Formats: sequence, C-alpha cells, structure tokens
Amino acid sequence: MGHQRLGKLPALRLLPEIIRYLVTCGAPTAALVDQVTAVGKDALKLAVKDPVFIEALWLLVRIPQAAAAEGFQKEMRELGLPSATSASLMDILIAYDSALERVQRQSHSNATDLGEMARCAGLSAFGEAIRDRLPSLWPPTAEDVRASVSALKGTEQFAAMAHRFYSNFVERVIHYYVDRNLHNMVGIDRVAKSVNDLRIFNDAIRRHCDEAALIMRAFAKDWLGKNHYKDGKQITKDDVRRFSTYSVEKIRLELDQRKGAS
Amino acid sequence: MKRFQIACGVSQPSTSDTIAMNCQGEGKNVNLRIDYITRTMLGNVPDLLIDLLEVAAYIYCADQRLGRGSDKLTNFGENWRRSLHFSIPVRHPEVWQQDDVQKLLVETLGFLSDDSYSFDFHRANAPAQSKELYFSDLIDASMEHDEVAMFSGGIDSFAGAVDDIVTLGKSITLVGHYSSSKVRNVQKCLIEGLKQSGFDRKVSYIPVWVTNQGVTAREFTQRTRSFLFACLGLVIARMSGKESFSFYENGVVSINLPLAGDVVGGRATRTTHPKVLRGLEALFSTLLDCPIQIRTPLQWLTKREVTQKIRDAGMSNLLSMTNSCTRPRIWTETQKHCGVCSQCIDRRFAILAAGMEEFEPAKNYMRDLLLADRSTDDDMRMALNYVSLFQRVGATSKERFLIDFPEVVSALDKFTGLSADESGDRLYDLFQRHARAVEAVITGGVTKHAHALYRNELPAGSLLAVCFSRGHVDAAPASDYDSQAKAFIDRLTAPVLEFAIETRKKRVLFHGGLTLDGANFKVVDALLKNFREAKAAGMEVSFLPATSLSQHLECNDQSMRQQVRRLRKELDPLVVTLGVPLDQNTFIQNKERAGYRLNPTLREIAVADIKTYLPPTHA
Repeated sequence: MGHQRLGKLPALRLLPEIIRYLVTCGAPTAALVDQVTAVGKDALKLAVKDPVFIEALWLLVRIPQAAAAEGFQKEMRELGLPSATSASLMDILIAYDSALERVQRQSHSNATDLGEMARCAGLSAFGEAIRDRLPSLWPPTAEDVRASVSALKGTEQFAAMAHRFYSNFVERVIHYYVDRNLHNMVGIDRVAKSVNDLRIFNDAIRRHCDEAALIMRAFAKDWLGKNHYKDGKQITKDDVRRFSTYSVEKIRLELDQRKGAS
Repeated sequence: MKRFQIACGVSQPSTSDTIAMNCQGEGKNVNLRIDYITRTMLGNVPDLLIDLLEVAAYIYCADQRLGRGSDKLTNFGENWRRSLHFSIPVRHPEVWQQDDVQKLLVETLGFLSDDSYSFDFHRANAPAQSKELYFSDLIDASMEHDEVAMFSGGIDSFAGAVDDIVTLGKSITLVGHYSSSKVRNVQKCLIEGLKQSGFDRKVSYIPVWVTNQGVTAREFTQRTRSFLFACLGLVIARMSGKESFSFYENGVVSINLPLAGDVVGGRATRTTHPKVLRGLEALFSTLLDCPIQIRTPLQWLTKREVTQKIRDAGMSNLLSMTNSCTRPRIWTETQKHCGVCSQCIDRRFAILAAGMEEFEPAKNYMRDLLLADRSTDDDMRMALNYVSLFQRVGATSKERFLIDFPEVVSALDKFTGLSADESGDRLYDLFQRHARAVEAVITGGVTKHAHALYRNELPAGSLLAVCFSRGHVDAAPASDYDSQAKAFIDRLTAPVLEFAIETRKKRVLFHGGLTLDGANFKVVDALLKNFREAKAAGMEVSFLPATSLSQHLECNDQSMRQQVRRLRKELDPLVVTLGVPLDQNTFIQNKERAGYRLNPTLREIAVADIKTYLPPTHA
C-alpha cells in the first residue's frame, strides 16, 4: 500500500509528452496539462460524494463475497441483485447495471455525470475481471460464472479490479474534458490531424490513466486484507467511502507528479 | 440539479417558482393538434387516452422550456439533470395515481431524459376540456389499415414504411410529429410520392403538431420527444382498434454508442433504446390494462441494410426526398443536408455503403462526406469521431465488446424472446456489420479517388485525407511493459509503520514530517517502556491499565480517552503519505479491561533514519 515505498511509479510517458501528441507548431502545452490534471483531481474529489460512484465500488467488493457464500441467492437478493443469480456473465453485468441505475434515479440532489462514468467504469472493470477467469475451451456454465465471480473476493483479485475501475474512471473523466474542450484543436494545423493521431492520443491517455492508478493495486489489496480478512469486517458503504477518500487522494498525488516535465 | 415545479391545466402559477402550462382555454401556452383522422376514429378515443395525450404534451413542452445548463457542463453536468415535479389534472386520477403507473413513468422517463420526475395527478375540474378541441380537419373516408407506424421522414422511417407497404403488401397509417413546417413538408412530399406510385389506398398520414405557444423554448435537446411520439402512436393505434404500433429505426442508432467522452448518459439520445421501448410498453399496458406492443422491425439491421430496403422496394427515386438533418434552420432550396451533424454523416455513410449514391447526388449536401474540406469550425470533430468509433468497434473482439462498450449492457435484457447472451451476440454482429460498412466506404473512396490522393489534390481537411495522414509515428513500448508494471506493484508487501522518539524535544517523528508532541507525546511516552522492554526481550507487549495511563497523564479516565482519540486523529494523514491502512488500533491498541499499548507491529527506528521530507517521486 505504501506510496512512499514505491519510488517512481512506472510511466511510459508523462502528461506533457502526451499532450504534445496533440499540439504541434510549438504551441504551449503547460496550461493544457494543468487543466487536464486539475479536472482529473476535481473529479476524484467530487466523485466520493456521488452515491453511484460509491455503490459501483461497494458492489465490486460485495458481489464476489456474496457469490462465494453458501446462501448465494439470498446474499444477492440482500444486495438488491436478484437477477444476478442466473446463469451468465451478461446476467451478472445486467444486474450490476440495474442496481446502479436505481441509485442514479433515486439521487435527486447529487447526481452528476461522474455517477454515469463510474457506472461504465465499474461495468468494464467487473466484466473484464470475470471474463479473465472464465474457461475458454467450453461455453461457461452458471457454476463457472459463479466461481469466476467468487474468485474476485481475494485481495489480489480485488486489487486488480480496483486498479481497472479507477483507471477506467480517470480515463473517462479526462476524455470528458478533452473531447469537449479541445474540439477546436481537432483539424488541420490545429490538434489531432488524423484518425491515426486520435488513436495514438487515446492510447496514450489510456496508458497514462492505467499507470496513474497502478498505486491502487497495492492500496486496495492491503485495505481489503486488513479490513475484511484480518478484522473480519462486513464492508459497508461507509467503509468504501472512507477507502475512496484515501484512494482518490493517492491518485490525485499521482496525477500531480505525472504533470511534471518529462 | 435544478428543481422545477410545473402546474398544468392552469392559466397562472400559484407560486413564483412554478411555471404554468395549459393546453386549452385561458392562458393556453401548449399547442396540441392532430389532423386528418376520421369521425369514426374520434369516437373511439376514451378519456384516458386524452389524458395521456395531455400528459405527454405537457412533459414534452416543459422539457423545451426548462434549461439544462450551458454547454460548459459546469461541475460535471450537475444542471444537465433536472428534478421535475408535475401537477396535472386528469379525467381518470384513479388510474394515474396507481403506484405501478407512476413508477413506470418515473423510471422510463428518467432513463430517456436523465431527469428525475415526480407527479401529482388530480381530478380535472368538471367539465374537462372536450377532446374534439385537439382534432382538426376531420375526414369522413374510411381509414382501416393493417398497422400504425411512426413517421419522421428520415431514411429509416421511409424504408420501414415502404418495406411494409410495398414489399410486404400491408396498409399503414403513418403518424408524423412535426414542430417546423419544413419537417412537415418532407413528410407530406414522401407520402405524396408513395401515393403517386400506386399506393394511394395503402397509406394514410396523420400529422400531429405539438409546440409551446407564446413562450420561447430554451432547451433544444428534446429528450422526451420520443415519449410524446410513442404516446401519439398509441392513441392513433387505439383509435384504429390496434394493440401495437411500430418504430422504424435501425439497431445501431437505437443503441447509440456515444461518439465522444463528454456524451455521457442520456446526452447520447435514447429515443428508441430498447430499455425505453420496453418501459413504454409496460406503461401503456398497465394504463390500458391490456398488452400493448411496440414493434421495431428494423432493430437487427444496420443503416446500410435499411437503406437497401428502399431499393428493394423499387422506391429509390424517393430516397433524396427523405431527410435526416437536424438543422432545418440552415436548409436551402437545393441543399437540405448540412453534411456535418451526426445524422447527416450516418446517412451519407449508409447511402454510399448501400451503393445508392446515384439516387442522391453529393451536391445535396453542404459538405461532401469524403471530399469536402472540414478544417474550419467544428466540422472535423464529428466526422473524425464517427470514423474513430467504428474503427474501434471493428477492431474489438466479441469477448471485449461489453468491456470496451459498457453502454450496451443496459439493452441486453430488453429484447423480447432473446436471452441476454443471444442479445449480446446479435448486437456484436450488428455493430461489426456497421463497422465494416464504414470501412468499406472509406476504402472504396480511396479506390475511387486514388489519383487525386496520389497527386495531393484532395483538401488536407477532407475525411478521406485525414483517414490516412499520420502526424505522429508512435514507438510502441515493450510487449510485456504493462504486465511488468503491474507485477512490480504486486510484489510490494504491506507497509510497517515506523517512528522515532526525539527525547530532547519530546516528539514522536514519522516519515514524511508528521510529528506528535505535547500531550500526544506524553501518551506515547507512557506506553513506550512496555513496548521497548518487550521488543528487546522478544516477548508480547503488555498492556498498561487505563488507570495507570490516566495517572501518568495526570488526568481522569474520560480526559485520557479523549486524548487518545485526539492522538489517533492526528495520525490520519499517514494513510495517504505513507499508505498505511489506519484504524483505531494501528498505533495505540486498546483492549477492554486490559488497557493500552503501542501496537506490537510498529517499528521504532533512530531519529536519523526518519525521512522528514519525501521527494516528489515519492509522495
């Protein structure tokens, strides 16, 4: 978990270099780097107040634990996911999506685009983590799916999923900003000149987010290990909110470091 | 999130923060007019459906009157989502007040428009408005048709209509909603074209006009338009004795994957999203207490395949009269397509992919899809994003489809008769076919314009040119770069919390600069002896009884406990700076009836080994 022990996290490219993919002709990039970093940090700070964000992360902790429990169906119902007890990966994702939709529609006061981004980030992270553990030589049975979901209750598996979740979330936040505010820079003599440039830029942003969120692999592993396995706690939404508060602070620090000159 | 109160059926709002809306009478500010229905049909309209028409008109017109904030999407779009409370007089409050009805309204409209809804339905004052007021130009002719379908005048709705009428031999009542005369003209011309092609007795057209009156619409996103559209379809269907009606829309647009990162949630329109249509079916069925079906015969077709249906029906000559452009304000006599909006781009790709370019010349568009210079204004962005999206879709394996495009998930269980897995497979196949159509248009364009490309004669800002130019050449990282980075993190073990005692200054020091002094130091100092002795002897650290700790601190038990709480709070920043998972026992452990001790997992080190400053590469 220790941020301090890591030294410099892996970084294929820092943000200024990524932005230079977009801006040619010697145009200044520092302001843009600051803006992109600031929007990522602001989003993380606001996200912990968004009930959909917290629900998305809490379900990533609780669904695997429920899947591993003897009373699987009862546990799932208690989480508000009755349809997740049926067979396939898609059924599980639909149930997860529906649960988040319900929270989203109930939230009259705090609903923002961050909740929707967390929903998509959670779906991607959960789907990928389950799929990685499904058999590839035969069509997965309901038991295979349940085994794959329950395997995610382990600290290392949760850590990898949390890493994906935060990476996906920050990536969506950055595109939310870049795609909206840089549109005047798309075109000849401006920013991305071509479909290829856009793809390279998008790939670079994805890697930037993936690396900035790497810290979550260590942090999430130790957090779950300490709270659930060592102390035997049933993880609550408040626990997840506290975890998220620390998590976003760590990623905010990481984003700050990555805006340094490359 | 902004909250709005909308009082309907009244001429004046009762409070200053309420807006008043009225379909009829004094203070009328909502226009609702349905033309060309027969007197027989009018006799078939129950009051409940008149209620539905009014409810839909109020929701649609309020949607246009109440802003969603600026395009800047301040604070991550907090004003995009609105909280709307409607107070609506109805003829059948006992139906509208049912929990099921309200729940379905709130859920379906919520997903459709991203807003939160609540409703107060109450009995309309007698006499309620007469239904005849909404129906103009009644006709006497018989209008018995096989089906009812919605008709916008775009390629999809026209293709669906000709497929049903010409290819399948059905007769159809087409319901067209319009809010501008230009759009109505498009619909009328296409109906005339069909009639003149020998299908006079197979088609009839019912135009519906719903607009705000005397107030300026502020919001042009119109996310509730399809709710109004569907309600109109249901009313006309029921007037004709039918229990179903059709939406003609291709499946790719129905799902409508976002073209850019800022198009979040309902900002990618969900007009005919399967979740919306199933929600509307459930709402209508509950309202009327009979099963209502909304058919989507083009659901599993791409726009290219839909466009080809026009040719298959022998109606290619009418293709150029259809219109998909969202900017009727800038249409000219000869050019009714801007060529820049997403609908124009989608349409043109479909026509070229279907090989039907000869039926709609490029000059009909203000910007040619492949060859026009798009380097000015915002023109490039939409085209570039469109191609990029479907390039990405085309490169995505079936296994990764839902992972990379999670927006698809909400549709998976909304296809009648299909399991979620089957729906997922069919959607993947559908999107792949569309991605291949986009690719075929681009590669076909290269072949056709190879000489111009080679001679550098195409504008550098043309879509064809930007698909192949390359401003940067990227050196890929080592193939195992990502896995090595993850492995590096995974090898890390849980941290140990280290501290040092600076006796001279009476301080406890931690890495990163955090210190405990004063009363906090006294607490640690009291527990230090047991900790050091046990560590030196390799034994269990014993607890100091609470009374002993109080005596050491020269205070009572309550004050001592408060001091311990304050100390623990002081350590909070270590979670982020050192990555230590703190709970209340991480530093000072407390065991009931045993007392307090420094946690045995702590490690005391020398003052010189404390790193008071963590360089930026650390934290």
